[in-house]
Amino acid sequence: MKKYLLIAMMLISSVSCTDFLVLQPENQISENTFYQTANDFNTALVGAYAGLQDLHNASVLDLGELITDNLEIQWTSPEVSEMECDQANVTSTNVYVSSVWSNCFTIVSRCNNILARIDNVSFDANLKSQYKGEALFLRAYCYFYLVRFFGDVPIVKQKFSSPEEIAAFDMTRKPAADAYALIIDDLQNSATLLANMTTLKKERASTGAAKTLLGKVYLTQKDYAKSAAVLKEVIDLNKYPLAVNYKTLFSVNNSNLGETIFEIRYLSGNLGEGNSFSSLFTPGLFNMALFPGNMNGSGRMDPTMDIYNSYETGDLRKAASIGYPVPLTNGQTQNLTYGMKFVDFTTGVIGDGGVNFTSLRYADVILMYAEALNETGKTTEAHPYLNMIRIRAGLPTLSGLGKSDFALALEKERRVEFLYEGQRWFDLIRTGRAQTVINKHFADKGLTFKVEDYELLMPIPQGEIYINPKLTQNTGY
Amino acid sequence: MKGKTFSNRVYTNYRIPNQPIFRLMMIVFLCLFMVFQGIAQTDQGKVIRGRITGTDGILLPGVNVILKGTAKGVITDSDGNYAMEVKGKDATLIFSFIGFTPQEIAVGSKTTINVVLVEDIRKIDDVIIVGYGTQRKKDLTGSIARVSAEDMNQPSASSFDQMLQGKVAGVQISQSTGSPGGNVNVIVRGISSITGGTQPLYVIDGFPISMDSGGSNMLSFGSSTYTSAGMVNNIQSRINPLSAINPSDIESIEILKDASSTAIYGSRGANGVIIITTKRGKSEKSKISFDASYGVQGIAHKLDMMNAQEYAQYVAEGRDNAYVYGGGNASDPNSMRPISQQVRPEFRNPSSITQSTDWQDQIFRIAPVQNYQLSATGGNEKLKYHLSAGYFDQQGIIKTSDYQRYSIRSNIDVIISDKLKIGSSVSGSYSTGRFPNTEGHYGTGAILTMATAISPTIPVYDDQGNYYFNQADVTDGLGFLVSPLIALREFSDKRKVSNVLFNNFLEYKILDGLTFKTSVGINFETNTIKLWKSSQIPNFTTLKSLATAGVTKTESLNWLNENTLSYKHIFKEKHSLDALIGLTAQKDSYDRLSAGASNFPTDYVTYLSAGVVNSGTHYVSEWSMMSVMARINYSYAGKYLLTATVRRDGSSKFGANNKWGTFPSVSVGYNVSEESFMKSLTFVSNLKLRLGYGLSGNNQIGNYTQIGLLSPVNYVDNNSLNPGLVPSNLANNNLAWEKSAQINFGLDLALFKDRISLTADIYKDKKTDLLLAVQLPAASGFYNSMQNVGDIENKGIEVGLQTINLRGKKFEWTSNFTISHNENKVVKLATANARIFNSANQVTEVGSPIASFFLMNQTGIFQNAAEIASSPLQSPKVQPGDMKFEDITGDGKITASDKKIVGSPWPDFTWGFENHFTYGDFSLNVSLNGSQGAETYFMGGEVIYCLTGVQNQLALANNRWRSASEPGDGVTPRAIRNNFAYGFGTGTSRLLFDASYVRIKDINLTYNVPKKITSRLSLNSVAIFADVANAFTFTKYPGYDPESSTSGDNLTSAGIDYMTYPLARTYTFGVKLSF
Repeated sequence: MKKYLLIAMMLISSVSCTDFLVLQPENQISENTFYQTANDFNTALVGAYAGLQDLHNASVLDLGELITDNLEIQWTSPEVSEMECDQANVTSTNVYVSSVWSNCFTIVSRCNNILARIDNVSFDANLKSQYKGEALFLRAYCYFYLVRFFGDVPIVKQKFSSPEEIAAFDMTRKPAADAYALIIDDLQNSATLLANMTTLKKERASTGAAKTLLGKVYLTQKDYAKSAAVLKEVIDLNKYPLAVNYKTLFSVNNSNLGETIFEIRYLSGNLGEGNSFSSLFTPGLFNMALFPGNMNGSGRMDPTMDIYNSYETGDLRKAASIGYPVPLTNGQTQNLTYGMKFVDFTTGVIGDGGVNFTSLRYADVILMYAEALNETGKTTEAHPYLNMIRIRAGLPTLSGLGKSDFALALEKERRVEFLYEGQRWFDLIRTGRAQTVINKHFADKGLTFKVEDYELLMPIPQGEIYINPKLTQNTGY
Repeated sequence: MKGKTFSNRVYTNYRIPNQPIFRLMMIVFLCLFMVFQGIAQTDQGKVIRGRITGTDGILLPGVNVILKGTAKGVITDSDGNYAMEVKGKDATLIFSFIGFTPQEIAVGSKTTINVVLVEDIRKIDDVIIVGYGTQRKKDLTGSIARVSAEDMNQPSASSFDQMLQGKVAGVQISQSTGSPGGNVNVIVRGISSITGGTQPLYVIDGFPISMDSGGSNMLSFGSSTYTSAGMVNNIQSRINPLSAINPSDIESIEILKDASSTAIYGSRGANGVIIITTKRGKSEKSKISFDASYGVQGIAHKLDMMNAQEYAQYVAEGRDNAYVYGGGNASDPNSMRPISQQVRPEFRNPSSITQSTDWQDQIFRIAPVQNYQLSATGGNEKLKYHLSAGYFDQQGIIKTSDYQRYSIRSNIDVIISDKLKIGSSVSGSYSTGRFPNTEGHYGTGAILTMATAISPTIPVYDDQGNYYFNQADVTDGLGFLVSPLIALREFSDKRKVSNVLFNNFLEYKILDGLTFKTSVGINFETNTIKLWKSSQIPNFTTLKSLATAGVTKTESLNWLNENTLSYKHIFKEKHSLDALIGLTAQKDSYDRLSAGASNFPTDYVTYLSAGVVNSGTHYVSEWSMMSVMARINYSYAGKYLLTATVRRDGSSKFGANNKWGTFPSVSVGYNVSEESFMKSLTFVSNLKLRLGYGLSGNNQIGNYTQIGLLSPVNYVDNNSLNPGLVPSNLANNNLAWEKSAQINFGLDLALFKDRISLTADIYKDKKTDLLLAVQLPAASGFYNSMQNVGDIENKGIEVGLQTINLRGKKFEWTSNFTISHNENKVVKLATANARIFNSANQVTEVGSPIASFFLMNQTGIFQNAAEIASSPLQSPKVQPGDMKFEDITGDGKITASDKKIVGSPWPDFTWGFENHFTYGDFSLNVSLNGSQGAETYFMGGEVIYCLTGVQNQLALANNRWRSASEPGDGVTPRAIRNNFAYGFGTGTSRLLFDASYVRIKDINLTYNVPKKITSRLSLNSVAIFADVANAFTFTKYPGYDPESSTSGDNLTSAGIDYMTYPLARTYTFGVKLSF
């Protein structure tokens, strides 16, 4: 009898346990059931784009503007990492450094994942080109940040499905030139693949965006002829009119504006899609009357008096860019600056601003083109482009500047035109003037902080070196 | 369209696996049933009758009468009578009854055998419930502790785990919060996992319950919790899941500690197993009992804060120091100073301040706690029942907090024939609780930091009787943003839990000694969380913020089928065998729906419907497991004992390559005192040695950790959400349970007729394959992957000592002392230098205990400029009076990298000491317990012991550095507004305190009304009692309670106290009647 019983028990344990013990998470999608249709790939792309929100919400501005003479902290108890940026003394444990590193690579991996899978699924060829073009643009966009901030970086172009695959991959840093080659290749392909897509909105990549970025890449590489050529192609597209009112570019409802070439979208309304600019760019005053519900700022990135004073008289951009002084709830004011650009004055919730961040816009194309022309000796031809921007700003035109004066005029113009747009650090690095300008700024403020030679590249995040000891640190850190 | 096909796919997946297994089990069950019917035998013999009494002549119902060498037996009826068929003349009957010495009587030619059983004070013959069966304590080879109902006597406690504290060696119990119905942590032999679950397995009447919905970590409760989306994610469980069980229904609790005992629970046994057995009917006269108690609770210990004058002086000092620091002169008038450094004129002259508010008195209250229990128990030889209903109501000592539980239970056993027995356990409970936001930073409206940090110089009410508010206090950063009473009123967190547990069983005696048992059980629980935050709750520096609300409803269903076949036989008188095989299947489904709303036009209606519902989620999660198991207990002449078990568990949680795991154990015992050479040592009444080794597992590793998953990440499209999906979890087909290999050596010793009995165990538990998030290079696009890579070790010693100190005719004094020591050490992590951050201030590293405190090590206070100059550079701005730190990296600079491990939240030892005195009809019970050597990071100190010249401070801050000639206590820095010193206000060893304590946990005085009085009232028994719980605590810890842990059941960040709900002192009076 016992024998039968045992057999019976063995039986039931073997018959159905395999099915019984396999459960799929019903409310989540597993990788095995996804990536089947065009729509799936679109969804995956949206996920890749979504990574840009985090990247631009603070870290790119901490490393790209707070570190410069544009912005400073107006808060008495800042975090260590913020202090490091404000004082241009970034260390390898700085959270913004690791955030840029991981955000960029996360987006890169999402793009790689799409690119690795898309050719295995058949769907509409146009859509496929578009998605590939977008993924390539995004990958290049992120690598461009990486290579500019860190120099040599690991180059990853494949997807990973298991920890073993990751362990087997060569994650060492590859020469910056390799990264640039990848970026240029991706952008060229992207521009081609997206060439016929004319209806894309500005939060998605487009051929114009790819070419604008490519122009910037060449400019950064000091390949001025190629830069001028590709930027001229963007100009000749004739589809990005300069906004009449500069302020509209940085205020609520700035989606899909004509001048915008590529934008990072945010949305207010407690949906977790807002940005922190409203809080970051305004001072940490308890009784500030800037926002509904008397929301306070946090004073993490306020304009310096230096940039406030650097606007020429009559510059329409000044009032659109910097608020001064701060109105208080008791009707008085306090003599502090605050940012106007990208600040959502309609939000009463910290971290819930709905103004989009304009990453690439036509004014940048114009000024980059002027820079490329000037650097190739065509200073005279460059003047009208600089003046286009000045005219919109309500400023008199410039004429007859020599090459180096023109370069300085451009530097100044870019500074006020692109405040808060994450350009200042890269502009100064590109022109080799970062140490001169920033060190002078500190000296003027009576501070002993200095940008050292080695600090022109950011440190590799220490945490990444712990995980992967084969990553070498940049010299000096 | 796509969504639809997808859900279809899921639907079919969901159905298929379930049905065949159910069907198969039913078929097998029916087949077995028929087979057993067929083999039932009839036996001819004579009938023996008799009556069993105690020495006092009282009839004893429920006595086991067993034919020796068989499992055949009957039980005496309510009049102590039995009748039993016996074949053969050489038969011997064994009469046994719990609490009495068994007797063996040879039948011979007798037909009537009356027996007088002698009461046995030897607890050693207690029957212990082990997994899937029982064993006599004498035959135990593993380490199992038993606590019975009469030892659990704290009427004001809402859950039984609180009552176990200090009673069981090797089990560390801490009440992490005093919140009514709140979390209690139970750690069996040390923390057992780094990322997996650390909870023991709870088995209620044979049903292993799922505790997956735990997670009472209040550290994560912050301002982000208040957004609409945050409300949706606010799913910390506030109600202790174990409080669903009415402690009055519990008959006994067995705690399986070592792996040789827990291996029978396989992949769930590694954290220890706690078996709860509820009261069942006995064949005795029906008895109805009514217990009632009423208590009052008050705060046991308020924080010692600065008074108004000390506060004013401190604020003035902080502002002057900040102003001087900025280059000013302390004598400069306010007009020259920035607003944050101005000093109010009255603060210059503290003695002029007349207003002095004790804000703690405003939020605490004297609160009642009441507990009622009505039960009926009884039965005859065919039917036994125990029915009960209970009501527990505790108002919290913080205003607006409370907890109520309604519970009901029916336990029924029916003997259908001498072969067939069925039974049912049905219980239901409904609990509700209100939980004000007590823990955390005042900026999130947390009551306790608000009430302690708020200025004592402002009144509670203004002239109009409204809550006092003055914008000027806010503007110059002095007073508090809103009154804590507003925060109490304007935030609400209501919880409801309904739990029903059904478990039916059928037992069939196939042959003498061979029994088949099958059971089917269902545990269903629903949980509701309703959160509301009005616009009056501040969000840090923002005084008023948008009102938000959230609702979460969860449903979990857990079903279980167990089938066992057990065989008991004694061969040739000396070889006793008890064997078991079994097959079980269990499945758990968890379903959570939550929604959040904001944009409420008013604060009047607190339901979602009044606002705009703009966030929500639906989450489901399931696990299933299937197991086969076997156990053999063998003993030779009661001297040599052997237990061997094996269990094989298959689980949906494990990766494809590791679906099944095997968990064997073996243990041996040697009853030395049974040896003939011990007979001469009459003072030794029992001596047993035990040695066991076993493998068990921890399957609390997440339900889908092994599957490659995508997660939604939204983006924005045309002013609306645009949903995206990104890879978020790498697949890991090798994922498996966490393994535990434990060796245990134990000694049971009883001396002088059990006047002294001692149980000591020493163990070493090596946990391997712990699941860790192996960090991956960010360039891979994944942050980490969960892999079985870590090793930890727990080793320890535990001693339980029970003594009968005095025993007179009327007076008796007995004691129970337990003490345990456990040492936790991390042996291996993903890499040799890996450092896992368990919290902002805790790390797990190889060579140290899990969750060690990792802090800047303060070495003192800078007394003068020369000392600063000769010390490692901290910041160019450091001045005398600032904190001085150890340069751990040795680079001559003090940075945030200069942290080291300075302690751990794990005690060196915990102990309990219980004394029970009886004098005539009075009995007095005094329980003490304590913990030595654990540290707690007093995170509340980041606010009320931070010396930044704003918030009110612990009176400890009166010992601050004021000047080189008034250096204070050498630890507390100077007061300086805004912490200009960059002196690392948080994460320093200054806020780490010794959390050792000695507590008089409970004093209980009971008067048992004499029989002669009760019988006149036609009552069976009456007892009245008075009880003081949490009577007094001796500790140096400056927070509310040294056991406080804001992370709740998240043990890997235990020992952080962010102003956790304090424990109450409770005075209770009660009565127990039975008739």
